[in-house]
Amino acid sequence: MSRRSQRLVMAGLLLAGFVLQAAFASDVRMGAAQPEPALCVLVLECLYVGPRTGAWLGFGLGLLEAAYAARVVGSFIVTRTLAGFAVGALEDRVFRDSLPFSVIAVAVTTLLVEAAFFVFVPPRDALAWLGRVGGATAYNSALALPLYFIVRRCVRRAAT
Amino acid sequence: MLRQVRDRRRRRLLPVAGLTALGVLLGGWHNRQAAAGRPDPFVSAVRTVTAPLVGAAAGAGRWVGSRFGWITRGWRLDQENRLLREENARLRDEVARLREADASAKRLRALLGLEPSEPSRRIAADVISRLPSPHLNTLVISRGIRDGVRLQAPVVAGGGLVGQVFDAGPTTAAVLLLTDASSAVGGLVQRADSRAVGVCRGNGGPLLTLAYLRENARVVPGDVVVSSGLGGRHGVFPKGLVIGVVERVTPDASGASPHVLVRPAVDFSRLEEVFVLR
Repeated sequence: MSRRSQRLVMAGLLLAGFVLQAAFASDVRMGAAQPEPALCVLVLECLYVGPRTGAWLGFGLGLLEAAYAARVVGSFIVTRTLAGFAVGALEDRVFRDSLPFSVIAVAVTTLLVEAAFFVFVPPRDALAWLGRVGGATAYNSALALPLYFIVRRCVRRAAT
Repeated sequence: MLRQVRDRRRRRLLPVAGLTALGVLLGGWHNRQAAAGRPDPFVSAVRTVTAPLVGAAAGAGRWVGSRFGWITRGWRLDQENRLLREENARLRDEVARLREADASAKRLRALLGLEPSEPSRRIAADVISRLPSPHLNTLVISRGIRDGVRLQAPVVAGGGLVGQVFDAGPTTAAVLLLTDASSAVGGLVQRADSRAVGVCRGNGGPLLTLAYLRENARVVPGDVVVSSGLGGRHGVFPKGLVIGVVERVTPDASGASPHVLVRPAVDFSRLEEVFVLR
């Protein structure tokens, strides 16, 4: 029962992150930098689950983002699924429940997801793309600080 | 032991391989639908289910902004008010002049036997989501096929052209903004002694490029660019919709057409309501 409620809470948090991103991300844009709170929540949640659940969560987020972008649907789903799987697969290798590790995980995952996106959807202006990726990585890393505590609290409470 | 490890690895990899394959299939299906000019029912179903949530959050944000925005805007209100009064006076003069010009144009069209140009019908829509990804310039609006929105319909806002509907569900539609790298619209410099025709292309940044101009095209900063009514990449926009204002003109050293950058008339990051033309 606790595992089921934990997953429900995770799905709810991911949806909340996506709603915030879809409704407000462009309002808090700074130059080329735009945050992706949903991706941050995905990475932080996947730190508490295995690769299978991580892949499912990533798939769900990819589907949501693809529905709103209504373009490059496959790229959104595949990159998010692989991101969830990769972060979930870290469970055997590192101790993941720490703030610095979470911030690094969010930054590295953002870079990898954007790099994969670069391959799937090559941009016309690579320099502008680099600026947006740098901005999103910095923004997401900063967002990971408060989100880490929120996600950890919700996920742990649901598990007990 | 080795078999157990192999089984475990397989159990881990199978779901992600399946989900990735499903993602590729859905992407392929979406591209096929888009190429055929049909909306993707799967993607629009996901959007239709979640749109009330996103719309409610966006609405709450707008409500808070309208109630408490004065806290951040207060110090600028006086200056903004003065500028708006000046602009209002200028626009009243311009409206009077344009009414006169419109009446003359109608008279001349009738004399020449040309069909009168009917104003387009508009569907008002709320913006429920803007730019969900840093790399794509799209937005989602609160009207869909049930309200009469059709694929490739032009979308405008107070200041000018916003973009084009490129995916539509029953109650929502996705709009490709002019600034998106895959967007292109026929542009015309409005100034009477220029009338240079080109193609306004987005490049993912805040400015548009007015490309494919003639070598001797006369374009200067400050020129207003409107839609030419000629074909764009995804169909035809009606003539005369304001695209933006020329910000920079860089002559080409080799004598080819100048490099022209256009600032869109609409601030895409602040859009709250738009109109879909029918």
